[in-house]
Parts: sequence; C-alpha cells; structure tokens
Amino acid sequence: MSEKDRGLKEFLGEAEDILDQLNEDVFKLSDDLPKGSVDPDTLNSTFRSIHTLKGISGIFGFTALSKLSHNLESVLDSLRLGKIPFTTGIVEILFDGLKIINRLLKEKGDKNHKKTVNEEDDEVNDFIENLTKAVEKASAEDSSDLNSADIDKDILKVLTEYEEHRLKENIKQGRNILMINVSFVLDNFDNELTELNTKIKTIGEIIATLPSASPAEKDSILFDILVGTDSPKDAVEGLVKKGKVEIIKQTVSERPSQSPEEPKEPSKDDKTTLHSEESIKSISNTVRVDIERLNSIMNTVGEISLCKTIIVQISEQLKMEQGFTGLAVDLHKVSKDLERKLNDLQLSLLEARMVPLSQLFDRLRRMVKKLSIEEGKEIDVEIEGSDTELDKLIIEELADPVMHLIRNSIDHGIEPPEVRTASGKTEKGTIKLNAYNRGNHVVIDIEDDGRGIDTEKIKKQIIAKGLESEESVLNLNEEDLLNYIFLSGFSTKEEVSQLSGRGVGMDVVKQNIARLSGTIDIETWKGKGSRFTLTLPITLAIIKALLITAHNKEYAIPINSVLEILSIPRSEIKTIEKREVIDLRGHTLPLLSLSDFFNLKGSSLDKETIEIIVVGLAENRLGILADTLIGEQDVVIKPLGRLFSNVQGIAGATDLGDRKTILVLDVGGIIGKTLKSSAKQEVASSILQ
Amino acid sequence: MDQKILIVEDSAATRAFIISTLDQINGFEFFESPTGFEALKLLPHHAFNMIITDINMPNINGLELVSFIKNNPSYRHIPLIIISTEGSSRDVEKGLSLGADEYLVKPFEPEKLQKIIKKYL
Repeated sequence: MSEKDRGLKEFLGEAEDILDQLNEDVFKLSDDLPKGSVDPDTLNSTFRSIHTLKGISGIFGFTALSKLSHNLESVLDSLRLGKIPFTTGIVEILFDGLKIINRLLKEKGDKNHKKTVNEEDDEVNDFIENLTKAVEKASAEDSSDLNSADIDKDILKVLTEYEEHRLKENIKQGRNILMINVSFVLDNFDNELTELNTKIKTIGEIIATLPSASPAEKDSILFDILVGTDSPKDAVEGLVKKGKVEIIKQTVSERPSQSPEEPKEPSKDDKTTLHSEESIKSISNTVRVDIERLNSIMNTVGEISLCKTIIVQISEQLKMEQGFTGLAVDLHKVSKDLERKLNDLQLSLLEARMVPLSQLFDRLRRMVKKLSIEEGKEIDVEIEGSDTELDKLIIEELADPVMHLIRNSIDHGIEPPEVRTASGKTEKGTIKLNAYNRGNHVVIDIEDDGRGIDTEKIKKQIIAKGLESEESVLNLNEEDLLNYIFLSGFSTKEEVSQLSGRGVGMDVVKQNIARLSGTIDIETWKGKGSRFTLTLPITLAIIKALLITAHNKEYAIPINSVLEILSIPRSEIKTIEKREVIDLRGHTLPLLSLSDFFNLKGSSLDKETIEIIVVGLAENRLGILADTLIGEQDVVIKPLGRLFSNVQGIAGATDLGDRKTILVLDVGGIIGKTLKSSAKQEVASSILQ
Repeated sequence: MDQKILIVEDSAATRAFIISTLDQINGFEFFESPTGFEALKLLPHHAFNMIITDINMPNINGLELVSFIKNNPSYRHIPLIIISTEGSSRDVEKGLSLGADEYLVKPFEPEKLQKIIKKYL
C-alpha cells in the first residue's frame, strides 16, 4: 500500500471516529435543550471534534470538507463562548451538517466515486447558506463581556480563549475561583491527577490545569488546578487533603460545614467521572484494526485448518497401515492438539470481529430523533439487548435495511399525534429495538405501535397489478399477503413520501438480509402496530458445511440451513403436478435435483436408497437430492467475483484442503427461486383448468 | 545520532502527516504523544532537539505545555513550534509570548514545516 493510501485510510478511520463522537455529542446536546442549559463539556467536545476534522481534512486537501467544518467550527465556537444561544434550529442545522460530512466521507472512501469538486462545493455552499440563516435566527443575545481583570495576568496568559470564557462564565455565575496547588511524583502523576480531578469534579468545574516544574525535587511535578466551585475553600481543602488551596476570587462565603444533601450530588457525578475514567482506559487498550485485515487473517487460519484436515487424514491412514503404534500414535496426538488449538484460534478471531449491536442501535436512535423532528411526530425509542454481539461486517450490512424498516415505521406506521390521541393511544409513538441470541443466530425485533399494515390495501394492490385474480386473493392468508410487500415494485402508498421513497423498496431490504443468510418475518396487528423480526447468523466468516455429492459433483451446504437428513428408498418419491415430492410426516415436501436447478447434464448414481437433505429458511422447506454424504467440515466461503454475481443459488466457493475447489450452495436463493417457479406453475395450471 | 523530535498532537492523522513530511529529511527519530500528560512524562527521559505541539488538546492545552517547557531550565533551550488552526490567532499570540519559537497554521504546506525544521536542526 502506498504512503498516500495509508494516509487516506488513517484519515477515513479517524474522521469516522470523530463523526461518531459528534453525532453522540449533538444528540446529547439536543437532549439537554429542554433543560435550558447545555453541558459545557459536551459543547466543547463537539467543537474540538469539528476542529480536528477541519485540521485533518485541510491537510489531506479535501477542500469541501474543510470548508464545511470550518463554518461549523466557527458556529460551535460562538456557541461554546456563549455568543449564540443554543436552539432547536441550531440542533437541526448541526444534524444536517453531520449528514453532509458523513456523505462526503463515504464518497472519499469509495474509489468508484466520480462526484466533481464543483458538485461537492455546491452542496457545501448551500449548507453554509442555511447555516448562516439558522445562526442569524438564533442569535439575539449578546455575550456579556465580563471583566476578568482582577485575575492574575500570569494565569490568563496560558489560558486558551475557551478556558478564558469558562473562567468568566464561572465568575458570572458567582462561583468561587480557587487555585489548587499539588505536587506529584513524575512517573505516576497522570493516575493521581486523574483521581484528584475526579474528586474536584464532584464539587465544581476544572477550568485549567497548569503544570510547572518543582524547583526542589527533580522527580516531581507541580500542578496548579484552576477550579470554579460553589463550595467554600475549607470544603475543597477537606476534599483535596493533599496540596494547597488558594483563593483567586471569592464570591461564595465560607460555610461552617457542608449541607447534608451535598454528599448525594457527588455520588451522581462520581458515576459520570468513573465512566470517563473507564473510557480513557479503553482507548489506550484498544487497537483499531481494518476489518479487511481481520478477513485476511481469517483466510489464512482457514487455510491452515485445511492443512490440519490433511494431517488428520494422513494420521488416520498411518494408523490403518501400521497400526496404532510408534509414529502413528505421535502423529495422532499432535494432530489432535493442533485441532484443539486451531479451534481456539478460530474462536478468538471470531470474537475479535464481534461488536455490540449498540453501535448500530445508537445510530438508529439518533436517526429516529432527527426524522421525528422532521415529520412532526414524537417518537420514543426503546432499546433492549444492545450488548448482543454480531460480526462487524454483518452489522455494517445491516445498517441500511434496518434503517429502511425504521423509516417505514416513522413514515407509514406511526400516526401523527392528533390521530393517535383520537384513537385512544398515547401522543408519543414508540419504536422498540430488541436483540437477543437464539442458538447460532441473533434475532433483532423492530416493533412500532403505529397503525399496522393494512392487508386490505395489499389485496387491492395485488389485484391492480394483476398478480392474482380477485377470487384467488380471497384464499391468501395474512402471511402470504404480507409476503407480497417484499416484491419488487410493490407499494401500497400511491405517493412515495420523502422519507421512505428513496429508491429502496422492501424487496431490497429482503435481498440484503438474505445476502447475510438471514431471514425476515413480519407480524402486524391492525391499529396496534407491526413487528419485523430479523434472524441473522452470528458470523459469516467460517461456517460449518455439509459436503454432499449429486450427479458426480460435490457441493457444500451451510449446516445452519440443514434441518434434517433423510435416507429413503427411491420408490417413496411421488410426482405431483410434474414435481417430485415425498410425504414427510404428513406434509408434502417438494424435492429438488441440483442438476435440474443448474441445468447440468450428468447421471445420478443408480442406488436403491437416496439421501435427502431437508433445508429450510423461515417457513419454507425443500428437500435437496444427494447421492452420497461426504461429511461435515469448516469452510471459509470466498466470493466468486463479479463475473458470476448473477448466478443464482451459489453463495461462493471454498477450498477443501485437498486443493479441490467446490461450490457452496445459497440455500435462501435456491428456495426462493424454486418456490417462486412452482407458484407460477400452480397459477399456470389453475388457469389451464 | 538521530535528532529527536517530540510531536504532541491528539490527532493521529495529523501526527502521521507531520512524520511523513519530516521523514523526507533524514536523521530524525520521532516520539509521538497524543496528550500533554504523556509529553510531560516523556520530557525527562529523552534529550529532545525539537518539540512540535498542537494547542487545542484535552487535559492540558498546548499553551500550558509551552509555559511549562519555557519556564523550565532543563527544557527552555529546545526549539518549539506550535500548530494551531485558522481563526485562533489569539491563541497563537499567547503561545509566542510564552516563548514558542515558531508557529504554523493548519492546514499548512509540508514545505513550510520542512523549512522551519531546517532552520533549527
């Protein structure tokens, strides 16, 4: 990789982190808004983030991004210095700005992207115009320029503009300004200082921390901590214990003792500072790794595990030929050991790819917040199980489909407040996100308490589109009806709204989920709401597969989708309406020959009994015919490349260790295609009758 | 022996940019510190030939670091460059009055930084 590419990667990684932090902070600020005052630390953190973003985008020559962040920075600067009041309008424009930053960054990361600098410029200029308007609207109050002349000039000299503003603000609020002078051993000062800061934050605000060298002891370092507090000097002294407390400016009179309710407050603040301490630790212990790099390690591990398979085979062979003695025993032991350790390695690698769903849920919550403002609806988001873990790649791929489902809920599901109150519901709508583990899968429920999906409208649409006749629609049950919304071009809304109508339909949602080997189910209750249930595998990286042969070809079937394996006499196969089926415990199971599916020529083994692999996805079942079963093996699925991207029924290829490459079946795709064509056949045959 | 340069900057991308800029001139060993705290800890252990610091940083800011270094007999002589972002000219002024030797405003041309470094090292 060239230095330039590495730089760009570093840039994108950092910018993405900054954007996440920004989103979180602006969200927090908007939550604080009704309280009348926003947290100065959060506001400052927002400013710092955008400041850094501006710096790095300038360095990398991304002018549009740098211009955008420059403008946002000056607004945030005025906000934190109290020159502009914080309003709903400001929150909205900040969210808009973050959205554009997100888009610009995405485009930087996309090599195929061809947007010109001019187009970017136009977008940014439009935004800046809106930003200026929003600021004009919000700014009315003047910042009071308080005189801080009575503060020691030496102190003022080292304060940044922001720190100076915080000092003035503290004076304005009538707080005591104290200077705490402490000395620490140089080697360990940061831990002790953080501990002290935690204590100080329970009684006030740390305005600045000024280090100075200790003239007496070489191994120690002195700090002057400038603090604004409502507590009197002696209370601070009692808290700090070590060190000297000096009054810089006193406005609060001495109190003999702390009031009884005071200990309560520190305990609440303790929590937040404890939290920030935790986060400091996690930053220094975490390594950011490109998922591609993890993938390549995973591939190597996959290949090593193929070597292991060969060693095991050799060991077995040796055992057969020479008996279980000497070298055979040694090799057997070593290969078993290798197997165990490889398993451990695979497991820990898989764990490294796992991230909590909170990554996705937090983003969704922010999105709901923002969209509900736009739509004039009040919506609460309830989240459960956000610590459930999923493969990072799956979470990323999941973001768009889940966002679409939620957009739908906000747009079509949840009613406007007046409609809700009229129908006896609470004014505020609720969207529930719930994630939990079920076996090798993670289930995510997305539920709203809106009006539900109107199956009558679906029926009308089915008839209008000529998909079914009026009579046959009557025979469809609710589940069948709901499944129609996943058809391409099927929409019950005559006019596509600005929210959901972004060229992505439910068909794309379903495809995306299916690509992750997942399923989606819908439940709906008229007037009460709907629930979408997504079931996803925990990881896609290494899967267990069943190896079979059919018509002299080998295939791998992901074991996740195998429900059972039957061994039956050929005579039990019946033909109904030109389709081979068997009777499985009272239900008709359609069968599929892979050579028919892939249009291959080849002869099946002439055996009396035949193996049937029963595979299933959600409610659908299918029996795949196999000649022989080879066994079970861990496989790493590799994509076939763009050339074969439209071949249906194949998920990818895998290497079996004996340098033989075989195809891995895409069970979802096969079931979808087979059952669709059989449905067509049924329609055709019913018309013929 | 390589000349030691300490870079105090909380943005990893900016640190990487500075290093790649200066790496084109041979003979430097780089020390990176994302916070002022870490810089304070590194200072006694290495004889630095140059310090480059950002101004807006968490825990202690760049100005406080400048003041610490320039008031300390052991470090006072080390050439010090402050890096700030456009629009914070007051902070730059303060930094220079506290004894910083040079300043750069982000975004800056790599040549500019190289030129300053060559002046001192």
